[in-house]
Amino acid sequence: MILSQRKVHFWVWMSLTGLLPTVFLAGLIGRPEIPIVDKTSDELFAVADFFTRDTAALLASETVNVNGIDVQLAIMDLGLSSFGESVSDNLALTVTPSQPLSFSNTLVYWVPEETVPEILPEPVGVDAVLLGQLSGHSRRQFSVVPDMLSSPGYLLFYSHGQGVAIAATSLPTGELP
Amino acid sequence: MSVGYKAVQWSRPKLVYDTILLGAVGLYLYGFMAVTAAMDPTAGMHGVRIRAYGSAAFVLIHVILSIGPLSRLNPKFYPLLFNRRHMGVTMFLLALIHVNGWRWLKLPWRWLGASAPRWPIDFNGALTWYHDFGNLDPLVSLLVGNSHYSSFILFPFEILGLLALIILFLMAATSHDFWLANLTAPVWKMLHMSVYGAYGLLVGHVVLGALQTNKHPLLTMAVLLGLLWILTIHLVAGNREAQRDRSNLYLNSDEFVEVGCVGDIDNNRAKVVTIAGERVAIFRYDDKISALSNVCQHQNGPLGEGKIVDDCVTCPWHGYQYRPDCGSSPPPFEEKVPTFDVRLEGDRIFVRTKPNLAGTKVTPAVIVRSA
Repeated sequence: MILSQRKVHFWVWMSLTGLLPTVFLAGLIGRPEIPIVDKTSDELFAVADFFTRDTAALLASETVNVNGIDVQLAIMDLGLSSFGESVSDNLALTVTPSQPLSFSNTLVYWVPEETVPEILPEPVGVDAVLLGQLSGHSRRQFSVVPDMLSSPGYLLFYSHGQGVAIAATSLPTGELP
Repeated sequence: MSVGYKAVQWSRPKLVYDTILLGAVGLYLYGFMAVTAAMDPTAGMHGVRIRAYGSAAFVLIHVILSIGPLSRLNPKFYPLLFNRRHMGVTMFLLALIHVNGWRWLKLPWRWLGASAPRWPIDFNGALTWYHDFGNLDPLVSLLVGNSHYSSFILFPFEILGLLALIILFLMAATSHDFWLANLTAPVWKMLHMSVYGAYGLLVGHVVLGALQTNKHPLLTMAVLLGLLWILTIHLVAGNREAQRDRSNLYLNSDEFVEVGCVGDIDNNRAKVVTIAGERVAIFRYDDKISALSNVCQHQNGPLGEGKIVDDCVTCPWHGYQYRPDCGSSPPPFEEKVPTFDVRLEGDRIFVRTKPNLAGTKVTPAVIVRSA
């Protein structure tokens, strides 16, 4: 190395010697404890589409196979009769995988089509409605859009991270309003 | 230093070097995944693979950053230096796979409008595997998802990794001799010294990322020991170099200065002194003394730490050669380094402080042996 670079090298490493151990120690000292889940966490879970309501009534339920994993679909009546104007406002679709789907960023769409296709659509069509995101194997709660009650269609599980359609299935049948 | 242009001049040592490098990386990746799977059968292997590639890149940057100072401290490490660039490119690719998996392998299918086969290339990196922001593009959510820039502990560590990856990309993209020749060695070297910044960013990435969630003491100790090792050897080597530079006694002089005795220099070797701020290599060979700039034109390697091979000064880093009496590479090569006038007074060597233009032929001082 030429002299100017040797000087740069020397002062860069002098600076890093001061900075990096400080970052390391501060990172260890400031390491947060895992927060305990309590009632105040419910709001966060609700925002993330986790199902937290235990008074809902089951209207329809079905276990479907998504890429080799059993996933329970259910339509729930949330019992919020005064909430919203549409019937669907009181309903929720819950999705509970028996184990995590091994896909990146799995999204659940409602696609208004006459039949469930044999060849899955890639990419997702513009008329598909994004219901929410699925990760892990916790029960997720998604809104029921009015079209899901009045028009034919199917649920599409789509990996946004990998850009592949995983599975398509119809809604569970039961005593829906 | 090539007759005709070749993208990579493969040689047996390079092939051996690369085979050992790739073998070691493969062994590490396999070992990481196998041991993790054995210790925790419930661990999601996709996440384990992401950690395997990320940790492999982090370990490799420690190895890369160790080679330079170790070579300065002990010439036995020079063999590790001569193909370090392949190690750097390998490290960048490991980091890229950690971030983006094998998605780039799917591009040919995507360009043809077809679906890529899932196995064996269906491996997503951290960018998409841990993405949890609905249908937002993962790269966008990486940049906007965490805005705790004013908090130290909540700082978006992913950004630190991304900045390091950009630096590593620039280095990998310009690692070829084409860029070295066109940017010139000082600029190229300065650009590649940004690896120090990348290392700092990666330490921040690991401390504010993996170490926040994985509190296993073994991981903490490994990161700490790696950090202390790198800082120590760079400080020791840098301090040694600074001490040598401080021994510069000939600033602002245009005269011949005494640099030592003939007996100080082994045959076919050199003594390095600092004259007017830069280092000069004084070679002894065939009962003659010649002085050249210590800075190789290729990567600014230390010529004075090399030796005379086939009547040429040979750089210990990559084997670039120069004739000791004129500082020019033997034909057909065209590299040149500055030369210095030399004279002997008995056993004492004197060198003019002002260098000649690169490639200027200088009559070597002849050692007269007393009867």
